[in-house]
Amino acid sequence: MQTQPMRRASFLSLTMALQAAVAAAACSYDRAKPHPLTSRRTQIAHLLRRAGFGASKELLDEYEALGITRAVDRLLDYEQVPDDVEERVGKLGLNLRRLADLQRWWLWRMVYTKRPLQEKMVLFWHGLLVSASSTVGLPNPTPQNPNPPHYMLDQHNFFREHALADFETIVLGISRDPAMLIYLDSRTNNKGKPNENYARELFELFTLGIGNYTETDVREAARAFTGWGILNGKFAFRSNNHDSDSKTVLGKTGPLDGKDVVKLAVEHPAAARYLSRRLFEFFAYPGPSERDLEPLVRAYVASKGSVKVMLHALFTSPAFYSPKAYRALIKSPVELVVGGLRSLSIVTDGNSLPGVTTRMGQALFNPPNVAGWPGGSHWINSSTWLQRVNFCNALLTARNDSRTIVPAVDKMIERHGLKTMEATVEFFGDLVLDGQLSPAMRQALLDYMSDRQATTASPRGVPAAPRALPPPPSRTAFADRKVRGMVYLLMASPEYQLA
Amino acid sequence: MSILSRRIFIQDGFKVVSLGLALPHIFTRAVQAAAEEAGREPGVLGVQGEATGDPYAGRTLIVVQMAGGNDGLNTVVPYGESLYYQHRKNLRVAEEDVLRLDDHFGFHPAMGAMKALWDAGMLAVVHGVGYPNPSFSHFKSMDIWQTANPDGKADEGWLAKLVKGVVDKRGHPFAGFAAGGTLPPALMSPDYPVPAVDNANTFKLLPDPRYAVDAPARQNALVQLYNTYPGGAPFAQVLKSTQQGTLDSVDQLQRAHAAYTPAVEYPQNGFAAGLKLLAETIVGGLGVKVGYITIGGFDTHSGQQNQHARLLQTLSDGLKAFWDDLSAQGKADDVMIMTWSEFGRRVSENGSNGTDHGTAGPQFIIGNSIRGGHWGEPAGLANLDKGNLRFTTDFRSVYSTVMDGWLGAPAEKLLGARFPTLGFLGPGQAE
Repeated sequence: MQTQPMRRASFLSLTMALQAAVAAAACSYDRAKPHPLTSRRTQIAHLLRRAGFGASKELLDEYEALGITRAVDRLLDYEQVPDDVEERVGKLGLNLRRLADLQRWWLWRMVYTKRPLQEKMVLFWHGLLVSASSTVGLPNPTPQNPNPPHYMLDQHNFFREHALADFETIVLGISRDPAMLIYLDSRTNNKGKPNENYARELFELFTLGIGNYTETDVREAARAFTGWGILNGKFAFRSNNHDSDSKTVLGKTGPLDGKDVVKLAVEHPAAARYLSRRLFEFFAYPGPSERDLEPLVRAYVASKGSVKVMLHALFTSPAFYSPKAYRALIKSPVELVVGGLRSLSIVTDGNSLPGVTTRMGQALFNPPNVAGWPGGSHWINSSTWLQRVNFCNALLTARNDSRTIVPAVDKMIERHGLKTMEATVEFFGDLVLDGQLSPAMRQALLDYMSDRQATTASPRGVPAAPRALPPPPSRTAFADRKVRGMVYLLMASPEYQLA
Repeated sequence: MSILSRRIFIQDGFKVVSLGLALPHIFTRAVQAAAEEAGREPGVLGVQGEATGDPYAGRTLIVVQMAGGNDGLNTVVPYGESLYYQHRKNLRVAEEDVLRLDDHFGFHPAMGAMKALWDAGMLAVVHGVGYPNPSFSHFKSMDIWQTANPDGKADEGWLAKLVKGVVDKRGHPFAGFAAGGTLPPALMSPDYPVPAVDNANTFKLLPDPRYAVDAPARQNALVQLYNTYPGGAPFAQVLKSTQQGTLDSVDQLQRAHAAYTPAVEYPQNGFAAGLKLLAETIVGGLGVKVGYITIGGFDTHSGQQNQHARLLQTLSDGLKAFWDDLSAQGKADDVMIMTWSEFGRRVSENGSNGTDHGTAGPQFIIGNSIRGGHWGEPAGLANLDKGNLRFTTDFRSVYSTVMDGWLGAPAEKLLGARFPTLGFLGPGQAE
């Protein structure tokens, strides 16, 4: 176990305290202007970052033309959107029995999918209903068993297939999912000497949260799950090992089995609040009020826990587009990496991506522990910050690399008719930061491009005359050095670390 | 001047000034102060070697987290008690296999290296450590230990609070240091960045390889972006302080890394690699007051036998190598190690050859000047609470002893209450 990323506490209380400061947030955009989320363009960019992984200029144009309502529908009704990413990823020739290839396969799909919300929800479930390949293992074919089951991939495909299903279907499915049966020991949970691992995490982390169940509920529920196991790579009920005597779980008494316990859990009032909070904090902002959660809780109750109905409520709620929601989350490593590639329309085979997100603290298929990735400010420490900034550097300084085709910045300058440094900053600022740059940020970028020394005391409100880009042919050299450098700075900025 | 604003300019003072940038005069003074400080001391901006007469000045505490809930009963085995063998039919360490400490307790057989430290009188076992109303949740219980707060709620970790202003009032960038890519919550603070380093070789800000000459301008602009990011904006504190703390520490760590040669061969695993990195910072004189490392995998609900043995072997061999390295480099006198785990395991084994979440467990203290032996009252197997041990020693007593006795920090003030001190650092005999 010592080779896997270090385990860490979810440390919910500290995270909440750290993030409480966020609630009272001031702004990193220009406060003299109307709030960014009042413009449709920014709303669309915000929606596509949260419900997906960001977008290229072309995709933003396309969704902007739809308007919010139809954009939300297109994201949610993703089966209607034709997508050939499955075939295309197949052409990379990856061996999914290898962890790095498995990670790469999924990351590549996220970059090039036309159904971003589906991938985003698979990531959500992977971080909520956690299993890890370090415990579950990856298939190891032998001459005797040339085609062993791939439990981590099966679980992943279960999440993809049921990404927007109802909560009971998802929780029951995951309770019977072989990777989970291994990860939390259900397969060795037997009558007489139960194993509490799954029952505890089902209540604490998957459905209810601490304070909504007792230690007795855990011990009794563990009895209800006895006998759940795996046979020939699939879920199997081992009736000999099942304790069919009476138990009392969450106030109900009877000869309960695991299916009953799942039903009791998802029908418990705490489950509606718990899932609503987890979705809200994943997609909108930390520390929502009860009132913020109300539309999701109501949707859960009205639809018997349909995740699709809950997300529709969320993506059309005022809270989701409120000032409090804008740049209110730290991008996870996956969001940073996939988003960077998407917004700059970079073509890559994704070879380096698994190592990159892993070093930033997010190894897909291997969450640090059963609580998943704690997220928020936990994403940022000295090592991960350097990895994030250095990734942005790698994106912008890759040249003539057969694996990665970086947008030719000089061509973009010509194509979009950029004549001045100011216009260049605006163009790329629109692309990666919704055009929401503070005056100080603009100043620093222009100072960098023009090699002018920073003047912290520069007089405000006195716009300098726009500075022309050098004429061709020296423009190409300038773009290669200074425009790449400027875009790197945009992406290494504090603002870009936020989703 | 606050720690943070001072840190910013200690960090970039020289670079910024050499670029000839206009700085408000208050900052220029800070740069000057930093330069004076640097000139006065040998090597990097260390707190070591300063002739203050402070006996605590050069000391380091290394905290080792055994994450997942270590089975204390199979670590320090009460082989002299028949009740132990009644509760552990399969997962037992046989009397003939334990590494005997006395006629009652013995170490797990994988802990030969730590047994050697015990024999040398350099290892103390604190028994029955826990807290009232134990939580059986990993995460709640870790919160409690990491905040030193019974409800697990606090806005910073106990070690961050310790290093932030008390032990090192000068805001030294390496007062706290975590080996590994994750910053442990015990060292988290909203406004005090503690470096977390998993690999010294990648702990660098990379330039555009084609334009090395542009690197200072790029870095300067980057610093500018973080300095001008509004303090009240989302995540401003963590983003700004991390950027500042990181760029501050990169060069120093690289120098220490280049100068270090281990005196022993460390085992080949992630835990030992982390310990080696900690040794590097200590040998390099970076002024680490609290170093932190985690070894995970102790949540042994099933198949415990092999997994637990492997983990204890990794722990024991790693710590011994670390200790031998420090001893050979003449640094061991300045270092003390403390282990912890969020809880022990259930006294009775489950039906999966494993153990479920439990309560109290032992902590280890290692050091040249400590009083080795048993401390605290062992949690008895005869009087269980729903199958779990009743704790005998509050973990805050251990914290208090270490803070007060090893680092000279006002434990009562930091913990918000007074806890009885244990004797492993003081005069008197072990129990």
